[in-house]
Amino acid sequence: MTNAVLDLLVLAVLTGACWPVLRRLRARPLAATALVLVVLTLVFDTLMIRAGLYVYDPAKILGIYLWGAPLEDFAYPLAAVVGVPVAWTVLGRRTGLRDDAGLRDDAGPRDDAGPRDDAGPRYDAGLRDDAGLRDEADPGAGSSDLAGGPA
Amino acid sequence: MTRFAYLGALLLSLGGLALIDRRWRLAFWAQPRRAALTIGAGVLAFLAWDLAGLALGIFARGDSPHMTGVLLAPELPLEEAFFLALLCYSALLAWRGFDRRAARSEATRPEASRPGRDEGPAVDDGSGG
Repeated sequence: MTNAVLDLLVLAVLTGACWPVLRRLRARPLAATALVLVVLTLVFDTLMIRAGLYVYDPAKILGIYLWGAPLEDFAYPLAAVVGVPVAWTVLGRRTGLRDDAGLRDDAGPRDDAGPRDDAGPRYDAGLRDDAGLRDEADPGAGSSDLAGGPA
Repeated sequence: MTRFAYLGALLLSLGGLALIDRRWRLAFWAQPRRAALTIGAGVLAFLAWDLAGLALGIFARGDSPHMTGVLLAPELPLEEAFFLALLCYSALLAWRGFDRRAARSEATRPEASRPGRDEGPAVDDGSGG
């Protein structure tokens, strides 16, 4: 098996497995990340190969080079762009953690309770606190704990 | 000292990424456990890919004097694990930064936050990238 075949196989399996999550992530940040990593690979893969850190069997690679980097080596940064954001997103969903990066807040219906429930209170927290204070101030200090508590 | 050159460069680079991480609280400085699991999973997956490439005879360790010579497996130098961590960490920080910026710019454009408007183009773009 040549390197190109192995890399395409890995990318196909990885992208297929990640697709349900990947398709719900913002596309532009993923594309920008891919661009950054591809440029870094172009420079550093070239340097690393020139330094003799690793060698390729010429019979197993296409022989197409971008600067000093074999074309196949760009499969690594592309896999990172697919796998890392998806891993981060899935791990956040499992542990119930959530913040601004990850699934689109506005993507799809409210079928995905985990991230959404966590995202809501954080963004709304300021407004709710203001409302709470106003409610407490309004009816006067004499109202019971039952009235004030749940607000 | 020569044989620590590559490992040293990798550690220096990881340190530089950590400074970026801390400055903008992107990964380990936002959610350390989640960041560690993400990068750990990435490194293990890439190491498996490397082992497949080595088993197929696609590539091999070079004779560079800049490596320690410590091997994780036949032909798989210790440095490779740090390199893969650097790759995954770079990807995570870049994506977190870009995605946060996109989230904020969406929040300032009211019409862009309507599900019907935004869902369509996002899915189209996703299939391309």
